[in-house]
Formats: sequence, structure tokens, C-alpha cells
Amino acid sequence: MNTLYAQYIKWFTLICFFMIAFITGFSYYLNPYFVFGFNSDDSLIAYKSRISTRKGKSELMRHQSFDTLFLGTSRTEFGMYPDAVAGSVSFNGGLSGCSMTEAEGMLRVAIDSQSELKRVYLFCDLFSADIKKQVNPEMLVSRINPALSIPQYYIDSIFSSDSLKYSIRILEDLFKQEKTSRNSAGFLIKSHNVRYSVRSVFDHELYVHSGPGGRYTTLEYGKEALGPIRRIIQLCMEHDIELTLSIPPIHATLQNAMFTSGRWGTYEQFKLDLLEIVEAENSDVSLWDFSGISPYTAESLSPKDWLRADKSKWYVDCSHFKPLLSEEMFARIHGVSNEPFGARLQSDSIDEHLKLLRQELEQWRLEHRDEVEHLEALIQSDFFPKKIKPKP
Amino acid sequence: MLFNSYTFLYVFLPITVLGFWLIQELVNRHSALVWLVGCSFFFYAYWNPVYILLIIASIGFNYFVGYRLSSVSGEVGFRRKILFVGIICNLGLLGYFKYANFFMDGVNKALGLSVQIDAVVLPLAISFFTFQQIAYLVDSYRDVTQERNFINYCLFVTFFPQLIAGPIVHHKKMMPQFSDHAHQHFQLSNFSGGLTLFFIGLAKKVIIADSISDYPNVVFDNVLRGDSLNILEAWVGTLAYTFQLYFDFSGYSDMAIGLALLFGIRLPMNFNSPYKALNTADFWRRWHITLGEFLRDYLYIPLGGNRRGIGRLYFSLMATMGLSGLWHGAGWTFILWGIQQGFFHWIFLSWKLFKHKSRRMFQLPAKLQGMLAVFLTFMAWTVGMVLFRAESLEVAGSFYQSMFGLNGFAVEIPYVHEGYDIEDSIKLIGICFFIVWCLPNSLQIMKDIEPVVNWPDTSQAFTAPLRFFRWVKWRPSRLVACIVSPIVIYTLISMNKVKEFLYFQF
Repeated sequence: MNTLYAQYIKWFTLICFFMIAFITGFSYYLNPYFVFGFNSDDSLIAYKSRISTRKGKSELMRHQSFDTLFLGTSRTEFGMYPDAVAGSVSFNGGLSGCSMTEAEGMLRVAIDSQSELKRVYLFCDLFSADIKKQVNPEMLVSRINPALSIPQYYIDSIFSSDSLKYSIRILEDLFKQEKTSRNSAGFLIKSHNVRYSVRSVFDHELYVHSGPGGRYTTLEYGKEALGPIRRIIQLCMEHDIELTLSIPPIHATLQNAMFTSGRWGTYEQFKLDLLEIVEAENSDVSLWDFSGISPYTAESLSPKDWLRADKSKWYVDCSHFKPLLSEEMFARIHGVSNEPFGARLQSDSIDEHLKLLRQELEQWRLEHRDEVEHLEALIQSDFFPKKIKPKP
Repeated sequence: MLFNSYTFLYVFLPITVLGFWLIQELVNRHSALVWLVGCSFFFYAYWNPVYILLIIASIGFNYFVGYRLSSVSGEVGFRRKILFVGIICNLGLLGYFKYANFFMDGVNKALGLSVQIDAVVLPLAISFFTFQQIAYLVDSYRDVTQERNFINYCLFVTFFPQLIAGPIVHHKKMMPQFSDHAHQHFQLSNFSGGLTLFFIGLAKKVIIADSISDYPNVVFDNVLRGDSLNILEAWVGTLAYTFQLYFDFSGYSDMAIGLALLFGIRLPMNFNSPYKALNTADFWRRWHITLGEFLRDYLYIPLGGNRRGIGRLYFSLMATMGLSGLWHGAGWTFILWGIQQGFFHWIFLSWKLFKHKSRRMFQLPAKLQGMLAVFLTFMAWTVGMVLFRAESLEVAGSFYQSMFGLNGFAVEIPYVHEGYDIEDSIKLIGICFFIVWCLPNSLQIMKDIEPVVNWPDTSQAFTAPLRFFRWVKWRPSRLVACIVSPIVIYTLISMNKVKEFLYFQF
């Protein structure tokens, strides 16, 4: 009988050993998250879609060399050109739904791995300061998490269903020739889905933000969620990094959604709190506000163009601007342009600035009754966030 | 330390098992047991080192009290006082750590006060080791304890496979095994069977319980936030939780039994296909068996059991089930859940009496009767799961409203939360029904090695699986190794999203 048990153990061990060897070898070779290094000659890079995850992006960032880093949410990820800052080598660290805590984590990873880091542009969105959403489950298993267990991290990266699944996905994408839309510096190569009409993608984002369960509807803003901003400023000062904070330009329709959700006051408080932190740290950090009504954010389309894809010059959708608009922003930040777009926030002018923005939005709402009513109808409807209507 | 963590699986377990058998072979059994006690303390301290002092103090105190109870013979009054002090101290400790906050909340609400006490952190496993030691004290008082070896006693309380979430072991079943010569040699049958059973449990936890857990978490969180569910969401959420709890806890018990076998020790059976139970009483003989046995021996029978008339029987049942609810957690939802279980017992008893008196009225075919009984018992348990899972009575109330159609009977496929589709949950629930109702349970699969200490004498103790699946049985063969290994590997690679065991909180 003992022989039978011994044989069972022997076969059990052998099969397990070969399967473990195969899975680890496969995951190591295909390396979907760049945990085991990055080689620019790797022909499979274009098929590694996990670059868009916290784990993938933070790993890729460690293996690159750059002096300029962009941090923020998907607005940053969608809205930057690789050469947005002339004469620099940049990395786009924008993450979808990035919280302030995650932005701080990304900066720490960058500082640890980049000796030449000189500039950081952090784009601050209101929902990044949602106190309930500071920790993303995806963040916990990435380098952004300062309490990451490194042995567990490596086991997960080489011997887990996740690494196996995404290693297989690389081969599938290679077979189907489906390339990732992000390049090896984290920038989005194409930023617009031409399958959908402008109206559809705008409506989708409006609903995602102000519909039931939307970002603005459920937002719990707390000043404590801005704690990471203070630490980001301190880190940049300690490491002699030039930091610029910006509030990104969202389309007027989304500003209206924020107003309709009753979050305009929170948005103003958010700006006041940001400025207070910047000034309390007594640093050279500049804080820019590109929100508000401007020729860019109030871009309007003809009824016909609303129903066509890619007809908006400045926006992918009402939440995400196109890289073309970031050029205008950088021109303002670097003093190249004097367009009436964006303003540097300072304590002596902030009240006036906020009042002006409020008035501009009220004016816009009066002039765009159709958009105001459209939003109200959209919120009341059973618009399903996943259902984006294809263009006619 | 979680059984489903890399630290446990790749570091702690191999070192502990290897160390145990090496010491046993090279030195002696006693030293190997000391090693096992040390490893068990480390296992416990890994969670929070401070609480190691608590468990040491508890062991020291109870061993001393038990020793005194056994050594002072004849003086009944004095012995009763010692026992009383022992039980009060144990219940006091449990009461402080588990119920202090709940009690103060109740006092504050009742008297309109606002007395605040610091939130007390519940030490891991306190409910389990306290009950085990109370049983030891009571049996010492009854002069039925024979074992006095301190190391064996420490191991009986701290043996890491069962320390955190049971089975609640009885000294009579455990301590003799520690000294027994029959357990002193490494046996391949125990090792290979134990390893397989451990991985069956791990697969139940990682592949089934953790996969199905997302949906109930989302729906219960939604209700907590004030949303109301439709009837389909509510039933799917409750059924999903019912299966999550079963696979989570029975998975843990399988792992515990398998781990103990790696050391040549057999733990008691804790699950015997409870979702195949024919009535509520049968259910509680199959679900968390060791807790049921403890409550039966040390509460239900002393309260009178079924030997003092029907009134006392109903009272004993309700008191036992109410306290079982309170044991599970300090909250009104748990107390109500216990009362609800007691109420279901009442219904079953009343039905039994009624059926006995009007025998001719109910002549359904036996198979149909059995299926109906299993279905009704399962549904009663499922309804109870809402109270068991809900964070508050308000949440439970809202959930029941949805389940019983008070929020309408709309059954369109709803959108609950991105990433958690109800369709996936329905499919998983279907698979779970198939597993629990059609397949043999893990102990039936492993029956060749008789993995538990109280292995039933007759095969009737287990409900037979569907005829078609009776061949599902573990044997030490190449073919079985070829089937088991991929399951093990799949389980291991699925461990990257570790979730705690539900019974850790008790």
C-alpha cells in the first residue's frame, strides 16, 4: 500500500513541478507587467496592454530614463504629447481614476528610480480627492503601494492566474495584431475612439460623473485627502524638482454637470484648499486653474457634428481634452501665450477668480438651455453607462 | 497568518512539517510536540504579537484551574466554586473582548447616556479557545479528564490548524493522540491524504468562495449606502453569500483537517453536507458540527434538553440557538439570527408532532418528500443568511423587503456595479448548487484514509451523492495524481487575491 502512496506523491510532485516550471518560464519570458525588466528592442511591447495598469505603468517607469513626469488621472494620460515640454524627455504617469495617494506613490517610485528627474506636472482633479477612493485595489498590488510585500509581488508576477492570463493575452493580441494604445513612455498614441459619435461619448461621461452612483454624485470630499499634495510638494523640494500643479480644463458641459450635482461649491473649496497647501509650504510651486469657461472649454458643435465622430477639436469627450489643448496650457504655464485661458491662483486674487468662474458658468447655462435640459433628461433616464451608442 | 497566504504555504508550513518529523525521528516525540507548540504560538503571534500574552495567560490559568479541579477530590462545594470561578473568568475575558462595545452601546441607548469606551480589538480565535477550555474545566470537574501533560494541553489549545476558526476540538479526542504511539511514525497515507484534503479545502476557498464573494459584497454595501435592490438582486446576493459562507468555512475545515493529518493527527469532522439536510435539526448536526456538539453537551442538555417536557424542550432550543447567535457576533443581527434559527427548530418540531398525529394525510413519494425537505431547509437557512451578513437591522430589513417583493417584482437584469455582473453570479450559484447537492463531500471523497477522528461507523452517516457521481473518490494512483495536480496548480496561481476567511471574525 505504501508503494501506491509513494507513487502518488511522486507523480503529484512531478506534474506540479513541470506545471510550475512552465508557468513561471512563460510569465517571465512574456513579462506582461515589465516586472522583470524592459528592453526597447522587445518586439512584443506593442502588445503588452497591461502598461495601462498601476502595476504596469509604475514598473515601466522604473525602467525608463526621463527628466519630466506628468501625473494625474486619465485626463493627463489622454491629454499629453510626449514632446509637450520642449527639450525634455518625459514620461506620462497618468492613471485612470488616480487618487492623490496614488499620485504620491507614483512620484516616490519615480524619485527612487530616476536620478535626472527635474520637473513634475501634477494635474489635480476633484474626484482624486474623494476620501473614499484613495486606495485602489490595483494600487495595493503595485509598486505605488509603499507597504508592498516584495516577495509576494514577485510570486504574483511570475506564478499567478493574473500573470498567466495576461501573458496569454499578449500572444492573443499578437495573433490578432491588436496593439496597445500606449507607448513605452506611457503616452496614449491614439486618444479617440472613432466608432462613437461625439454626443455619445459626451453623454457617457456626463452620466458617469453626474448620473446615479456617478463620481460627483457619490463624491465625499475631504481636505485630508489633499495630504498627499503636501507630501508631494515636500518631496519635490527635498529633491530639487520643479513642481507645477494644475486644475485641468474640463468641458463646459461637465462643469454644468458638476453644478447640477450640487458640487460647484465643493469644487471651489477644493481650489481654496489646494492653494492654502501650496502657500503654507512656502515653496515655488505654481498652481494653475484651467477650468472655467474659455473658448476651448466652451467649444460648441453644430447638431450635425455632434452626431459624428472626432469632430471636436479640443476634446475626446467632455472630461478628457486632446493633446492639442495641453499645448495651449503649457504655453500659458511657460509664459509663451497671453491667451485668456487659465489663471495662476494666488491668495490675493482667488476670491475674485472664483466669482468670475461662477458668473461665467451661470452665463453659459443661460445661453445653453438645451444642454442644461439635455443633462437633466439624461440623469433622469435609465441611460446605461456601458451603452455608448455607435455613431449613426 | 492565513492558510491561503504565500507566507503560510511556502514558508511556515514546509518548515513546520519538516521540523516536526525531523525532530520526531532524530530526537523524540516530546520535543517534536514542543516544536509544534512553538510554531503554533508563532502562527498566532504573526497576526498581533501582543495577544500572544493573552493566549498564554488563558492557557496557564485554565491548566491550573483544571489541575486543581482534578486534584481536589471529594470536596464538592469547593470544587464547584473553583469551576464557577474558572468559567466566569473565561466568559469574562470573552465578554470583555467580544461584547464590551456592544454592551456599552446598548446601555447608552437604553439610558440615553453617551459613555464612551475605547474600541476593543477582538483577539483572533478567542471564541474558539475559550469554548475549548471551558469544556476542559467542566470535564475536569466531572472527573473525565485523564491527560495532565502541560505540553499536550498547550497543543490541544493552540494546535495551529484548528486554532483560528475551529473545528472546536475536545480534549478527549485530541490529547490522547498526542501521546499515542500509533501516531509517532511518519505515514505516507496520512501525508498524501492530508495534502490532498488541504488542497481540496484551499480550492473551495480560493476558486469558489472568493470568486462568488464579490457580488454579495457589492449588494450589501449598496443597501448599506441606502440603495434598494430589486427582487432578483436581493435573492442572487443572498444565495451567493449562502454559498460563499459554506465554501469559505467548509474549505477552512478541510484545510485544518488536512493540515493536522500532515502531523499524523486527526481532527473531528466539522461539516457533513449541511445543504443536503432534511430539516433544521439535521442541518445543525451537519453544519459546524463541533460547535453544535459543544452547545448540545454544555448548554442544551444542562438546560433540560428533551427530557423535561415539551415546554422545556422549546425553551432549551431557543436559548441554545440564541446563544449560538451571540457566539457568532456581538450584534442584534446575530442575536436575531440565532432566535430565527430557534424559531425554525420550533416550526420543525411542531410539524413533526403534527405529522406524527395525522400520519395518513401526508403520503408523498419518499424521493419527492426528501427533495422538498432539502429545498425547504436550504431556503430557511438562506433567508437567515441576510441577518447573518447584514451590518445592521436596517440593512437586513431593507434586504428582506427586496427579497419578498416589497420593492416590486421587476426582474430585468440590473446593473449593480462595474465589473460585478449578476449573470456571472447566477452561473456560479448554479455551479454551487450542483456541487453541494449532487457531488460527494470532501470527506466522502477522502474516505479511504478516514481523515477525521470521529469517523462514522456506518456509511449511512453520509448522504449518498447522485448515483452518477459515486465514483468520485480519492485513491493513491497515477490517474488521480494527474487530476489533482492541475487543480492544485490552478488553486495556487489563483491565490494572488487573498481574502480573509469569514469565520476569522468570530
